[in-house]
Amino acid sequence: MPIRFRRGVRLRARVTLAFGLSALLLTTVLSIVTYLLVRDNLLETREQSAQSVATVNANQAQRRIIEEIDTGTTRDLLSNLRGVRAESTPAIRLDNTWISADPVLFEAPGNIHNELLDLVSTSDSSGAKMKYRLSNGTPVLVIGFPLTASNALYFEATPLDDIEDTLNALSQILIVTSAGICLLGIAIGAFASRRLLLPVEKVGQAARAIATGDLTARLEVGRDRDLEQLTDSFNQMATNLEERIQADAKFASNVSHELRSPLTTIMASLEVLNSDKDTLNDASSVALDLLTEDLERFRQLVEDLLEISRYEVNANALDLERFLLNEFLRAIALQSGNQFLEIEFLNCAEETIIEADKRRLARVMNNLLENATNYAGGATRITVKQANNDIEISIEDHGPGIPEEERNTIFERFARGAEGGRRGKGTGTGLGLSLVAEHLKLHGGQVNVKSHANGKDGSVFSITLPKVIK
Amino acid sequence: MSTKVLVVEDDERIRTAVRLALENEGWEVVEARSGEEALQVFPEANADIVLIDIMLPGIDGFEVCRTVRKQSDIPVVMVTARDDTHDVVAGLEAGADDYLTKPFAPKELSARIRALLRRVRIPTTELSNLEFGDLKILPDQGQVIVGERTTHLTRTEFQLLIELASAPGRVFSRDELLERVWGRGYFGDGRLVDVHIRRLRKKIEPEDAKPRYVITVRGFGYKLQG
Repeated sequence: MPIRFRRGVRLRARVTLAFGLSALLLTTVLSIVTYLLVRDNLLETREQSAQSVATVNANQAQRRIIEEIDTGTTRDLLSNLRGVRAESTPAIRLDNTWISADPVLFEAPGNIHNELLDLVSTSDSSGAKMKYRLSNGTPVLVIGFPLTASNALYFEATPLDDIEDTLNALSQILIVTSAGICLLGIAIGAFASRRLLLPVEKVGQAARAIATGDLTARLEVGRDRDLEQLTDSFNQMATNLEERIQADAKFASNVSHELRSPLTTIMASLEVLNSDKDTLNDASSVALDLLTEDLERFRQLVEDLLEISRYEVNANALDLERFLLNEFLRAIALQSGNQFLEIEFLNCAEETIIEADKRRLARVMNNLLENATNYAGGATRITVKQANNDIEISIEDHGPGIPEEERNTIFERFARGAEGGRRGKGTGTGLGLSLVAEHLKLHGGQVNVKSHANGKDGSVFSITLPKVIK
Repeated sequence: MSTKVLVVEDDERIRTAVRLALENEGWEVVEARSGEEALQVFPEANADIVLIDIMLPGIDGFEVCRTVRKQSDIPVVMVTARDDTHDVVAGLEAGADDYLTKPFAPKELSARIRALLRRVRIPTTELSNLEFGDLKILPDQGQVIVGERTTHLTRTEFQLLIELASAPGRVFSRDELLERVWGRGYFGDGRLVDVHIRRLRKKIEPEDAKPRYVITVRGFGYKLQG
């Protein structure tokens, strides 16, 4: 059952984002609450003190202007009253006329609401108040009392701009702080997610190592109990996998090994028979030839199986040496019966030295040449090219070519092309090309096949391998 | 007198088939069914070469080889059913001169035997006694003297030393040494050379960890330093 993972945003980004958003939400709520509390508190305090000061002032005004109201003395009286702030302005309204040190404030249209006038004139001695903005934009608290004795109204206007400034400053501080905490949240989120996902990362690394063939990769058993279960089951899985693969490989190895003894007997006996071939009749002689040929193929199959079983258990180590590529290729050509094969160095010197496991590389070349002989009428040319630090060796033939759809599968075990399916004399074991791929993989190289660039019939098998193996 | 081969092999079928094939080559074969029997017949068999299967019940092939080596410098070919580095190297270190992997073609076996039976070849006719510090090589007597003491080398080891000594200071590639000493072609097994060089060093170097005479040239081969 495949385990589904949510696609889209990566896990780490999600954790980081969650931290950032949580921090943002938290600080925003905190900031708004702080702002509201501070604002209400400041305004309430201001209102209370303004109210009590205005009450005192109104009483004073009431006492002084009890008999007569004279504009001049009233103005003097008003200028002697101290409001809650230096900027507080008192005023008396009598018969629709304002008497004040700052008549503009009270007489400018809209500065004293009619609503407030009504509230004050109809209120009892406790008066009425209102907060709003003046026409010039200044926030203001206006408190009014009816002066019962003289049918006049007392007003006191206190600007609230200082409170507004304080609140503006506070809100700026809160916004900057919130942004800072949000960023800090993101940073902590990024850090925490990295720490948190480190084990996941390690599991990923181990899984990748296993996938690329390192069956011995295991997770380190840490002290964290939460991770113990994951670590244990991962390691258990890896161990099971390794055991399974090793058991398979061991079986193949045992089988090949057990086959080797009878093969030795058969090969020695056949040679004795072959040395007396002249004395056999025609039918026996042909039978002996058949036996000898198929025995050779069988021997090769056993060898190949054994080699592959070694790859399965990773029991292969490269035996590296440096040698002249030219000399090597000529020796291969000679050994494989292609002594007249053209070997061409396209963009590198014939004295090119490479480092490789000679036995394996010889196997690679032999298998490719044999493949060309068996299925394509023989190789026609070998070319050597150098690209960066890689050497590319191409083996060309003029055979029927390999259909596009088979080009990837021919390097699989026991794969044979549709043509190759007809087993004729001297066909291979079906493991040759897969061994080519395995040997090259061990060298850090690769093999691929394509058609001739000029559109002629035939294939080009190219192997690339690093010039010097690290 | 014809060449006599002692074949040590527990599998009767293989032993018989190999005997038939070797007799077909005109050689005389003495058979031994186990390590114990091999050690028993070896002193009187007067064999020219020994073929030992590694996987024997009882005393195994490595042990037989080591015991034979103590008594004689006769050429020994090990037969292994696995070509893992471990078995091959262990066999060569036990003193074998060459090895074969089952299944082998009898022609291959007789070629190996012929190469080992060749008498030690002196590369240059003019090669006289050679001296490298405390190391003295006396080709005509087949002797090597380190300091005051005569060191006993097998024929293969001696041949290897002679090849290196034929051009002191020159680097010989593994291929070249394989060709000259074992008569092997271009694709011979370099491990043969490596292990024999190790064996040679044990016998002639004052300290095998820090070779003074037989020097490795990494990635290329070996040379003898004067």
